[in-house]
Amino acid sequence: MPSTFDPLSSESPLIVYLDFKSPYAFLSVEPTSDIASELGIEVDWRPLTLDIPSYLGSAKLDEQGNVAEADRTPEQWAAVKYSYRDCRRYAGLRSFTLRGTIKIWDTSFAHIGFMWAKRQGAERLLAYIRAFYVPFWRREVDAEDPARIEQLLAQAGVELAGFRDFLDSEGRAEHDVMQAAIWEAGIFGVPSFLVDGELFFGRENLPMIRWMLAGRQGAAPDIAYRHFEAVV
Amino acid sequence: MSADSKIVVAVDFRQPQSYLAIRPTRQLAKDLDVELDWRPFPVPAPSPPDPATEGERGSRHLQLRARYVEQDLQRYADVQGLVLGDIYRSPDTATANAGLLWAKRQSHSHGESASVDRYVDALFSAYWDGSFDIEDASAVVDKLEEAGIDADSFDPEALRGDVDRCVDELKQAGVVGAPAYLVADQLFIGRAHLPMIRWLLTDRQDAPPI
Repeated sequence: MPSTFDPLSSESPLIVYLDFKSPYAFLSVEPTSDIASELGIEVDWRPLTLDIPSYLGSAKLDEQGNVAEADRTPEQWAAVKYSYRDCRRYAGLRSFTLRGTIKIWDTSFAHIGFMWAKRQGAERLLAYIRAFYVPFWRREVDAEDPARIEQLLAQAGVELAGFRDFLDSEGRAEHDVMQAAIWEAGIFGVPSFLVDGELFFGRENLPMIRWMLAGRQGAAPDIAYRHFEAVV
Repeated sequence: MSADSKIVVAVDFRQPQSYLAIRPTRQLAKDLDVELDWRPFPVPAPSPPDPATEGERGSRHLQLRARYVEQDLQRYADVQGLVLGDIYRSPDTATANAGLLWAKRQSHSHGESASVDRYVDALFSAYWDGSFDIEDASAVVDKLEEAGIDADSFDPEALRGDVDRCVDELKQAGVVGAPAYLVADQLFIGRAHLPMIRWLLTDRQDAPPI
């Protein structure tokens, strides 16, 4: 992490915060990339490691981080079920499989991989994001297994020499400092987007984000999950 | 789109998200010439940020989210040129909800639905203008009559059971928030889904909305 890391600003016009354990963040990657390619801009993708247990309410985790006990009301469970059905609906339109998570993953390992890939360029990073997300939501990735993370980095064309040391020392330290700064800046969820210093939470804001990035011409759009035309 | 297509729309008059959904929902219905079947669905009012609870991480998360929601609602109200005022009011909307069922019943017996639309629009506008006491039964009667609905025998107490049954039916269908849309055997919560609903009702032409 550069010493000048600022959670709220970047040389790129668009900052996007993702967490691999969020299906909503997963669904935001392709439409965001489509907008970036259409407008010819670079996205500053950043990892945000959500501390879900801190706001999960009365759900409890066992020693492995599994939800062992949850005092949720039928309404809360209905909301959770709706959320997954909703994500699956949209994932299906891109032929992605999205299976319910089996535990609340510690994605810090995968996010240190994210930071490692980012050092090797935007193209490699986006390849890693895609390489990770798609099988992870098919339940084919142990997000806490360094060897699996290395496989996915390699699949994305990322040079691995030095990664294990980075994961255990420098990368971990940078990750923790970065996450503390993001939290202090008030960024609380994913996907989060920053454009012109303005925070947006959720991919339904992409029409507004695109409108801002394209020069704010015409009437500002409402929220919408919609299609964006990528330029290949 | 089949001729008998309609969209069930569950709303809460005191909920800002429902208010912001009215115009785009109405536009969709107009574009596709589809009927809107309005249903009352009360949801908890949003909680204001409480700085006193910011110390603990989980509480701070909720405060940040609450602050964001407030700003986000304002941002998109501005887009529509709407004034929101106090989004944290939580009046009893039982009479207004009973009025909605009454409006539907009356309009159905006359074979038209425009008066229900007028009632929904009038209630939302008056409440969010801040000039309307939504708990006042006589004020609700005025809105029914302004919408062209005979309210001589409107009895909100007699309709409470019907409102409860309506809400229960929506919950059975999986509705957990508002505005909710039931269309083409699918449930959608939030106006952000309107492009998907449009896509489904136009035989999935063009690229899917993702």
